[in-house]
Amino acid sequence: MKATSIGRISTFCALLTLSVPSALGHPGHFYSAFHAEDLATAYAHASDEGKLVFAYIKKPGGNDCPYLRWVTPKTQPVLDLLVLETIIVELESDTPGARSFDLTDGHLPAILLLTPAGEVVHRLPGDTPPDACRKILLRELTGPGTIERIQSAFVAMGEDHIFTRERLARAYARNGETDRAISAYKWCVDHTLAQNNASALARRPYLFHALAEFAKISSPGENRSITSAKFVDQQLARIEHVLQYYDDSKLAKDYAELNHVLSQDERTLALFDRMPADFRSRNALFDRIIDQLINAKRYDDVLALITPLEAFRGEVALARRRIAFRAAGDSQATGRGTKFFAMHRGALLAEALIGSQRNAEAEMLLAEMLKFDSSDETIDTLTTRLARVEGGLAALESVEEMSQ
Amino acid sequence: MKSNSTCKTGRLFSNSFTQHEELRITMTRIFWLVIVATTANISAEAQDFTVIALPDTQNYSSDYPDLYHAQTQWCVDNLAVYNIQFVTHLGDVVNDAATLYQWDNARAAMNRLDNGNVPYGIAPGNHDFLYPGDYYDPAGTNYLDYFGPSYYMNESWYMGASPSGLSNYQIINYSGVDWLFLHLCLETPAEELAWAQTVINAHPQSPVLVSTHRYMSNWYLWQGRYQDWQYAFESLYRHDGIRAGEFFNGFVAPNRQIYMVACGHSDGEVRQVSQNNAGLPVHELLQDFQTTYGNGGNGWLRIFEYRPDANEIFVRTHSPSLNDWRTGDQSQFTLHVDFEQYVLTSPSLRFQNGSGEYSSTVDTWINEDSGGSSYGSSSILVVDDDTANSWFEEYEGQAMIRWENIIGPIVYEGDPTPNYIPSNATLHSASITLNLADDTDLGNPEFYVYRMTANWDEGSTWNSMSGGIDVGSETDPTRLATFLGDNNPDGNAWRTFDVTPAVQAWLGGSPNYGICILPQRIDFNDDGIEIHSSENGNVATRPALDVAFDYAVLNTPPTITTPLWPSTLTAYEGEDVELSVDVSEPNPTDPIILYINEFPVGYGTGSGVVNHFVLMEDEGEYTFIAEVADDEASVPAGEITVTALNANPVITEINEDLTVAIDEPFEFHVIAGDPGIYDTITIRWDLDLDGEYDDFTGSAGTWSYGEAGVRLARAQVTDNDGGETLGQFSVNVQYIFTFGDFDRDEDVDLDDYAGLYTCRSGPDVMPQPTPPTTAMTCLQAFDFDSDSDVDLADVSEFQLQINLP
Repeated sequence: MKATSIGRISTFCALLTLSVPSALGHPGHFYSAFHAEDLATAYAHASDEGKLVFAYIKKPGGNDCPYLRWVTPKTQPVLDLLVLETIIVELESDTPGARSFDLTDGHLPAILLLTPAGEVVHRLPGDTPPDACRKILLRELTGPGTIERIQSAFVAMGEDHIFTRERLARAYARNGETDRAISAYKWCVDHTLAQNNASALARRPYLFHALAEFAKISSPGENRSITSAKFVDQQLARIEHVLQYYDDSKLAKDYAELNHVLSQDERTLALFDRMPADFRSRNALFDRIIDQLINAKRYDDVLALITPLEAFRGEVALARRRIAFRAAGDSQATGRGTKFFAMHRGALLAEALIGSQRNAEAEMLLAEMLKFDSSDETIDTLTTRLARVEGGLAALESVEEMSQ
Repeated sequence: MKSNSTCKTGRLFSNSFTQHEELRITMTRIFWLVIVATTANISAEAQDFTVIALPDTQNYSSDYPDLYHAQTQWCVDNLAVYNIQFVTHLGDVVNDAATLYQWDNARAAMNRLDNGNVPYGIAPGNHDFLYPGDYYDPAGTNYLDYFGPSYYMNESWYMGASPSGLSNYQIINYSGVDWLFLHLCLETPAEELAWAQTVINAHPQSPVLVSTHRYMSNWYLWQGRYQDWQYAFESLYRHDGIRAGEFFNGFVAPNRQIYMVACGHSDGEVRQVSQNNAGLPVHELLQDFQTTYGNGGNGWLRIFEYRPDANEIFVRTHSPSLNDWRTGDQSQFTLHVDFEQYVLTSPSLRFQNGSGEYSSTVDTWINEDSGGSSYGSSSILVVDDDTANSWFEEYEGQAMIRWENIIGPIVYEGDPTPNYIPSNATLHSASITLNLADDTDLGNPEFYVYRMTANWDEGSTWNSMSGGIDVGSETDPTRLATFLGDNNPDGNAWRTFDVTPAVQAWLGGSPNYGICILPQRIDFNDDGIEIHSSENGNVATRPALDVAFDYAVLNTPPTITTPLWPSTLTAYEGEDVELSVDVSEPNPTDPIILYINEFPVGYGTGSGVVNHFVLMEDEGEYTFIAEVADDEASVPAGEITVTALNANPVITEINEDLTVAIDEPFEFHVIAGDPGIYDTITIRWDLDLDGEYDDFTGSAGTWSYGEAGVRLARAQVTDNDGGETLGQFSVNVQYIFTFGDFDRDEDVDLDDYAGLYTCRSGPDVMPQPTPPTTAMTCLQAFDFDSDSDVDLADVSEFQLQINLP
C-alpha cells in the first residue's frame, strides 16, 4: 500500500457551510480579507477594501507560494505587507482565472500584482526572493494614489475600521506625510488602549511594530514641534501609565516588544521596576529584561518570574524542533527556537540559580544543558556566565565531570 | 510480548491508564472474534441521550466566572430533562495559563459537574499552556495540576490518559453501547495520536467522538478545516504539533469509528462533512463564541441530542445565562449518523466440520446394550438411558464430542486472522449447538453435559471406556449444562448450551478430551435423543462450538521498504527538501511516527510513504537520521546528508537601457534579494568603466557622463557567503545638438558663421559642404525650419539668434 492510508493527500471536503454571516478572521486580521480562493472573489474584496491582488500562479500540482510555505525573517515582512495591502490568491495556471493572463512565455510560477480591475501592475518570477519582492511591493504601495486607494475602503468598511486606519497611518508614514501619519496612528493607539474593540486589540502587536518603524524614521512633520520619534515616545509614556495601574499581560508584552524594536529594553526594565510587585503582567516583560536583570545580578527578580528548569526545557523543546525542520548553521540562527538561544538562556538561568545559592537546581540545569549540547561554544558561554558568581565554575566543573 | 531492542514501548505506553484499562492496554491490539451474531445493534436498542459541548471558556475563567457556573449548573439541572450523559470541553479552559485564579475559577465551575455526577472530558487548548514570554511549557503544568488524570482516577467513566496526561478518553455505556469520547491535546502531536490510535484499536465496537481545540477556522473568506496556508498567518502553537490536514488524513480518515470531530478556538460556528477512508461521513464542527458574542461568549453551549434510532444527532445552541437559543442554520441543525456503520462488525469463529476449513471434530457414542460396538462413523449420536428399551434394565447410550485443534499459537501483526483460539486469548463465552435428529417423544428427560477428562477416540466402545462414562471418573465432576430432550416448541431441534468453563480449562492447559452428553436416568420406559453427528451430510446440523474471546496480537515492528530518501541531495539555500520513508506496517491500524533527528515530524496510520519537509535556511551539509515507530517498536529508517549550496543573489529589476545627454544626471537602481534566509546583500556599482565596483554602494543613485558614447553601468550584488550576481544596463551618452552651434562649443556665435557659409544651399537642395563636414552635420546645425535644406530662411533665423542685423 503506497501513500494511501498515510495521508498527505488532500482530501476533498464537501463543504456544508452554506452561509456564514459574520466576516471574521484570524485574531490579527479581523474583518479584513487577505486570502481568496479565486480571482473573482479577490477582485471583489480588493475593490471593497482598496487593496491590490497578489496572484501566485503555479503549474498544475505545483507548490504553494513559497512565502506561505515557510515563515522566515525574510518572508514575515512580506506577509505582513500582503495582509495589509493585498488579497492573496493562489491559482493553478490551467484554471479559468489564470488563463486570462498572458502566460505564454512559460515562466511559472509567476507573481502578478493586479488592480481590482484585473490590470497587471507588476509581474515577478515566482521564485523572487522575498526581500526583493518586498521592495517592489513597497514601491507600488507608496505614493499619493495609495492614500486614495486606502481611503476608498472606508466606504465599504466604515470610518472606524481599525485595520484600514492602521493601513492609512502606515501609508502616510511611507509617503513622508508625518503629520497625517501621527494623526492616524494616534487614532489607532487610542482605540487599542480603549480595550473594547477586539479588532484593535488583535492588531496591537502589528500596530506597535509599525510605530517602532515610524519612530526610527524620526522625520519632522510640518508642525515642527513634533517628530515621529517624539510622538512614539509620548505613546510609550501613555502605555506605561496604563501598565502601572492595570495588570494587563498582553499590553505589557506588546509594550516590551515595541521597546525592543526601538533598542531600548532598558526602558522596559524601568517600567518593570515601577509596576506593582503583584502584577502578573510583570512576567510578560521577562524576555526583554532577563539579560539586564542577570547582568545586574538581580537573580531573585529573575527567579521570581519563572521556573528555571521548566523554562530551559521549553527552550530546548523549541530548539529540537528547529533542528528537524530547518537547516542552518548555528552562527546564523540565533533567535528563539535555536540551540544558541536555548543555551544562552540556560546559561543565564544557571548563573541566577548559583547566584541565589540554589546549587542543586543549578546542577540539574547544567546537566541537562550539557546533555543537550556539550560543545565548546556551550562550555565557553557557561564559563563566561558562571565566572560571575561565586562557586559557579566549580559547579560547572563538577557537572562536567559527572557528565563524562 | 516480542522483545525488541529498540522498543519504544516505554515512551508510548507508559501512560496513566486507570485501573479499568491497565490490563488491556498492555496489549498491542485487541481483536474481537465472536461467533454468534452479537454485534451491537445500536439503532435497534439505543435510547436517545445528550452530549453537551462547552467551547472556549477562557473569558469566563478570567472575567465572567458566573457564566461558566451557569453552563455547568445548567448541565446538572437538566441532566434528566435532556438525559445528559456526557459533557465535552473543547479547550481553552483559561485565558492565561500562568494565572492561577483563572484555573481556580474553572475548577470551581467544573466541580458542579463532579458534584452532579456528570461525566466529562477536556481537550486542552492553546491558552491552557504557557508560551515563550514567561517560558514555554508544552507539558501543560497548570492544566495537569487542575484537570490532569489523577483528578479522575476513581471515576468509572474516565478510562485513561496519554503518557503526557494531555489527552484522555472516557467511555459511557448507554443502552448497551460503549460510547467513546476522545479528547486530544491541542494540535495533537504524533506521539499523542499514536496513543489515541491504541485506544481506538482497543475499542473497535465503540463509536468515537473526537474533541480537540484547534482544527477548523472561521476566517474571512475561509471557513473549514485549517488549510496549510493559514499556518503562515497563525503558526502552530505547539513545537510538536501537527496541522489539521495531517490530523484528518493521518488519523481521522483511517479510523472508521470517528463520526464527529468537534473543536473550538476560532470564533464562530462552522460545520462541514468530510469522508473517511471507509467512505463514511465525518462531521466536523467548530463552535466558539469567545469574541464577538458578548461577555466573553455569553455562555453559549452546544447540545448534541443523539437519536440512534433515527440515525441522527440533533444539534442546538443554547445560553443558560441568557436563557436563549440560537436558531440559525449554523446553530441548529441535524447531522445524519448511522452509528452502526461506524463500528466494526464482529468476525465470527465457529468450529464445525465442513464450516469453513474446519474439519477436526471427533464424535461418537457408546452403547451399553452393545458394549463392543463403536459408532465413530455414525451420522447420529444416541443419548438414551435405555437404548434397548428394556422393561428390566437400563442400557445407556452416551455421546462424546471433541473439537480438536481449536487452540493455537499467539498471533503477531501481519499473521493471517487466526481460525483458532490464540493461546493468549481471554475467553468471553463458549457454547455448543447441536441439532437433534430425533427428540424425545415419551417423557421429557434431561441430558447432561460434562467435560471429559479421559481420552477416547471414534473407535471407543462402552467396554473400552471401562463400562461407560462415569461422572467424576471420566469427566470433570461439575456439570457444564443441562438440556431437555423434547422439541419445544415443536420443530425446534436446536440445543445450545454454555461450555465456557470447559474451553477455559483447555485454554488453561487441561487436555482437550471434549465433552460428553449423558442421559438422565429415569425408571421405566422413556425416550432418548439422536443428535446429528459430524458425519451427517448436512453441514449445518453438525455439532458446532462457538467461541467469543479477545486476544492480543503482538507487535511486529514496521519494515522500512525504502529508507530515507531526499527529493534532492543538493539544494540551494532557501529551498526546501522533502524527506521520505516508505514504511510497511503489517497492521493497517497501527500508528506510524516518523522521527527525524529524534524529533517526531510525521504521522500516519498503516503502511505508506511518510514525508517531511526541511527548509535549507543556509548553506552547509546537513545530516538527517530517520527512525520510524509504531505503537511499540521503532526501527532505524536511514540516514542521509543533504548539501545546501549558497545561492547567488537575484537581481529582480535593474534600469532599462537609456539615452542621456552629456553631463545629464540619470537615476540608476537595482532591486535584488537573496534566497538565503540569513544572507544579506551588498550592491556596488562600476559606473566609470574602470572594472572596479567602487563608484557607488547602494541600491539606487544618480550619475552622469561627461563624454558622448555608449557606456555600461554595471552592478555587482554580493551576499555575505561569497555569492555574486552582476547586472548591467547601457547608457547611450549623446551630444544633443543645438541649432546654430556648428562648432559644438555649446554656444551660437560668430565662430559658427563660417560653417553656415559652407553649408548654405538653395531651397529644397541638400547642402554639399566640403568634407569632412557632412550634409547631416549641416542640417543638424542650421536647418532651423526642418525642410532639409539650409536656405535663406535658415540664415535669417541664425542671424536672429546671434543678433545680427
